[in-house]
Amino acid sequence: MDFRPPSKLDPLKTNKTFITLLLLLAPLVILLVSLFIGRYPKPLFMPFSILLNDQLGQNLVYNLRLPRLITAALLGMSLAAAGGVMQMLFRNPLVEPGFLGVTQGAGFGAALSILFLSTSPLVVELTAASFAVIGLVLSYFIARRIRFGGWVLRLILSGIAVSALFSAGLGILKYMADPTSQLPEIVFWLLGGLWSVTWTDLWYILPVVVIGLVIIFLMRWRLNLLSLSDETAFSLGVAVGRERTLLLAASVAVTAVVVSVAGIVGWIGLIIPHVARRIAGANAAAFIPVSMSLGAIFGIICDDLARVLTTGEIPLGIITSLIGAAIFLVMMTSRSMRIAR
Amino acid sequence: MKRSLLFILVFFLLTSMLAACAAPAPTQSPVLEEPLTPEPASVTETEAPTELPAPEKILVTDALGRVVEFDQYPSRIMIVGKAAFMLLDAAFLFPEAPQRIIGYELRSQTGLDFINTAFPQTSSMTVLDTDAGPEQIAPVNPDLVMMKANLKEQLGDQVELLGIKVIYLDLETPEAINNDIRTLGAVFGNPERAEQLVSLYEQARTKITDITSSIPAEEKPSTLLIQYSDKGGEVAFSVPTGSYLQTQLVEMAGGEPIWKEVMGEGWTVITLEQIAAWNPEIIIVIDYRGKAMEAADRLEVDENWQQLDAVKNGKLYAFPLDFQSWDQPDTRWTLGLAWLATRLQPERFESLKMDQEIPAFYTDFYGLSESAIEQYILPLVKGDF
Amino acid sequence: MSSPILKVNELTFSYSPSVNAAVNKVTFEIPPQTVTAILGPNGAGKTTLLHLLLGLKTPLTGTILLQDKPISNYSRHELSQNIGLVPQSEYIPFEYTVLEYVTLGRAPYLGPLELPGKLDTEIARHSLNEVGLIHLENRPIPALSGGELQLVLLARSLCQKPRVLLLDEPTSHLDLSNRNVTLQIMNRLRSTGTTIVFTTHDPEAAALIADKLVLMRSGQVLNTGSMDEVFTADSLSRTYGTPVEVVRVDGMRVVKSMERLGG
Repeated sequence: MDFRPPSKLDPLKTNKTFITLLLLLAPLVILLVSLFIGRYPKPLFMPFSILLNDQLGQNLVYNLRLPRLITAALLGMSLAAAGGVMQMLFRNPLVEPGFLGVTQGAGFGAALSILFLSTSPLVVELTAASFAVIGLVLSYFIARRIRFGGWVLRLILSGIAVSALFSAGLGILKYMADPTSQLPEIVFWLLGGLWSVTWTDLWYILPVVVIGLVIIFLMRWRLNLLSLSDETAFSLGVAVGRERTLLLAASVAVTAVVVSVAGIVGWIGLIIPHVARRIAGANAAAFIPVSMSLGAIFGIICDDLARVLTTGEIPLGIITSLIGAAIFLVMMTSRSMRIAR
Repeated sequence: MKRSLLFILVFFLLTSMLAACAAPAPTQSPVLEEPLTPEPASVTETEAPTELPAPEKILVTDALGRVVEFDQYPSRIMIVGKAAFMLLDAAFLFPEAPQRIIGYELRSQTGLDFINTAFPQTSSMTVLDTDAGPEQIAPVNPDLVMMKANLKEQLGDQVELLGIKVIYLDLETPEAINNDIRTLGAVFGNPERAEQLVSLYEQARTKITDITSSIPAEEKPSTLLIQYSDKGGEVAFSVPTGSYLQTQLVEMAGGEPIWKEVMGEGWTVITLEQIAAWNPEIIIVIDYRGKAMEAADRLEVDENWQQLDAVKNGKLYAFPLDFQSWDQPDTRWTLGLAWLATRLQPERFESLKMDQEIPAFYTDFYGLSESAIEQYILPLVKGDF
Repeated sequence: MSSPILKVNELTFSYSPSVNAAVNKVTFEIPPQTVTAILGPNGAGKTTLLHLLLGLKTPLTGTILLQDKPISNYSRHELSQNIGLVPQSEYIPFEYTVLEYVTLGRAPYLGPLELPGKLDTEIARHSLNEVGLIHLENRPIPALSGGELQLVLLARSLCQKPRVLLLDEPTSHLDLSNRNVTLQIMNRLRSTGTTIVFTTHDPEAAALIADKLVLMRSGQVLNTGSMDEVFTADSLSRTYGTPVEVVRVDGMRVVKSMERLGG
C-alpha cells in the first residue's frame, strides 16, 4: 500500500497568489525568452539589439517566431488541458486527447487532402480538423449503439474501433501515395510541426482554443464531480450527461483545432496532466491550471528545440514524444521507489 | 468566481497584447537590408561588379505569373525546398550561378551532390538539412530564395514575411523548363544564355522527335516504365500518370506507353499480375535512390519475372542515372530521351551514341571541361546502355 | 405523526420491457425524522428503488412525492439539496485527499462555475469530524481501508445536508466497530431532523436502528409498517423465502434461521 506522508505539498494552500502568478508568468517569460532563440543570426541566442536595428531580425521575430511560439503555447495548453479533462471524464489516467478517433481522424484527413485535394496548409488543416470531428461523432454514435457496458466503456470501445478504422484508411492512403513526393509529406505531417504557422493560422485557431480552454478552466472543479460514479454525481446535483458532453466537446474541439495546425503531436496530453497532478494533487481545481501552464511551457520548449537543433526542422512530434516518454519513465521509476520504501 | 474572471481577463489581455505586437512591421527601405554576416558578403561583392550595368528596375516574372521587382541583380540567392536539386541543376546552367548562389537545401535523391562535385569553387556555400524553414534560411541572409511553385503556401509565404524576395520555378514539363530557364535568365541578367539553352533543348528534342513522329503505330513497341521501391523488404512497383514527363518521354522516343489506361494521381502502385496481363515488349525500371541497376538485376533472376516476354528477350532495362535519374523534369531529361530512343527504336537510332551524348551534354549545358567530366561525371553514370 | 416527507405510490420500473419489473407497483410512505429500512434478500430491487427515490431513474408508472411535490418537478439542484445518497461503494480512480473528496458534497450549494470556498471547507471538516476521521483529512483516498472509505462516503453526504439521506447497504462491508459508528451517526442525524432511508439484506442491522420497515421481495413490497408490526417471524420468513424465528436477547431482536446447514 501507499506509505507516503499524509500531508504532501499543496501549493494552492501554501501561497495562492504566488503560485497563481508563477503559473501565469512562467510560460510568458519562457515565451519572451524564446523569441530570441533560433538560428538567426547564429544558432541559439539572438542579441536584443537586432530587434532595434535589423529588419530581417524584426520580421523573423514578429512575423514568424511570435505567432509560432504563441501557437506552440496554445498547443501545449490545449493538449494538456484536454488530456486532463478526458482522464477525469473517462475515469482513467491513461486516456489522452487523441482518444475517440480524434487524432487518427485528423491524420487520415490530412493524408486525404495531401493525396487528392491540395498540399496547401490551409486545406490540409481544414480537412484534418473536419475528420477529427468526424472521428469523434462516429465514436459517439457507435458508442450509443453498442448494446452492453457502461457509457465510458462503450465510448472507449468505439473510440478504439474508429481509431483503427482511420489508421487502416491512413495505411491505404500511404500505400497509394506517390513515394517520392506525397509520402514524405504525409509522414512529415504525421510527425507534427509548427514550421508553417503564421498569424493567419493563429487567428483561425484562436477563437476555438480560447473558448474551449475558458470552458475547461471555469468548470475545472466540476471535473472532480464527473469523475465520480454516475449515481453519486447525480445525487450531488450534477447534470452528468450535459456537463460531460460540454467538457468533452470543449476538449475535442481544442484538440482537433491544434492538431490540424500542428500535426500529430503526441505525449503532451498524457504526460503533462500526470506531472501536474504530482505537483498540485488530484483535485482538478488545482491541477488543471497547473496542467495548462506546464503544457504551454512544454510546447514552447519543444518548439525551441525543433527550431534550433539542426539546419533543418525537426518534427515537433518526435521531440515531444522523446522528452515526454523520458519524463514518464523517470516518473514511473521514482514512484515505484517511493512505494517500495 | 472572481479569481476565474481575473484569469480570463489576463488571458485575453495577453493574447491581444501579443496580437498587437504582430501588426504588420513597417515596410523597410532597402538601406537597412545590408548583409549581417560580412564575410561571405564581401566575397560576392568583389565579384558582383563584373556584371552589366543594371537597368533602373529589374522585373522578373516567375512560374506563378508573379512579377518580382529588384533594384539590383540578386547576388545572395538560396535554393530550398522539395526537389531543390532540380532547381539547382537548372540554375547552374548559367555561368553566374557559382558566384550568386550562396546556399541550398540538400535534397538529392541519391545523396550525391552534383553542385558541390562539379563546381569545386562553390565549396563555401551553406548547405541546409532537409526541411529547412525560414528560421534556418534567415541566418544565411539571402536576398532571393527560389523554390518549386507548389511550395508557395508551405514555405514561400513565410520566407516573404521575413522581407526576403521569393521566385518560384515550375520544372514539371519540357515547356515549363524552358520558361523557368528564361526566368533564371532574367534573375541572372543573362537572357542570351537563356535563349541559347532553350534552343539547345529544342535541338535535343527535335533530334529525336523528327525521326519518331513518322514511325507508324504498329512499329512502336509496347513499353512499361515502372518505379521500383523497396521499403523494409516490401517491394512495390508504380507507374506514372499520363501527364508526367516519364510518359511523354516514352511517347517522344517512339514507344507505346502501355500503362496509360491506369487512372491515378502521381504514381500509382500496380501488381505483378497486372504487369503479366500487359506482358509488354520492353520494361524500363527506375529507382530514385540510384539503385536501378540492382533492381533490374534482381528482377531478371526472379522466377515470376522470367515468364514475361520482355525478360525472356533481354529487354528489361535500368533507366540510367548519374547524380540523379534521367527520367525526371530535371535538366538531364534530354539525356533520358536520347537513351530511351536508343532502347525503344535501336535500328532507327543506331548512330546515336550515348558515350558521345553524355560528355556533349555536360559541355554544352554546364560548360564542364573534358577532364572534369571524365573525373566527376562519367564514373557515376549507371544504366543499361 | 406529522405528514409524510416521502410518498411513494404505485411505483413501477423495469430495465427492459422483456424482463419482469425490477420494482412492481410499490406503495409506501415515509414520515419525517425517522429511519426506514428497506429490507429484503439480494436482488429484491432495493437499490433500484433507492435510485428511483433519488430521481436517477425515471419510473414507468407511479409517483414519488417529496414534501407533497412530485420529485420530477424539482430542479436537479433543488433535489440534490433535499436528497443525498451514500452508495454501497465508490471507485475513485484519482488520489484526492480525504478532505478534497468530502468537500465535493458541497456541490449542491455551488453554482456551475463556482469553486468551494472557506466556509465549504469548514463544513467538510466538520463532517469529517462527525465521522471521527478528521485526523485523516490529508490522506489520499486510495490509502484508506474499506471501513474508512465507507465513513468518508458518509461524511461527503453529511456536508450535503440533505433532508432525506438514502444509504445503500451502509453496514454490509463494515466490521463491528465501524458498523456501530455508522449506526450512531444515523441515530444522531435522525435526532437532528434528517430522514433516513437505507437498504439492507441484514435484518439485524435494521432491527438495531429502524423505526419503520419496508419488506421487499422480487420487486414487490410484501409488508410495511413499524418494527413491532412487521418484524415478525412470519413476514421475515416470507421475505427471505426461508423459515426464521425472531428471538429477543436483552431487549434486542435477533433473527434465527430455522434451516440447518447440510439438512
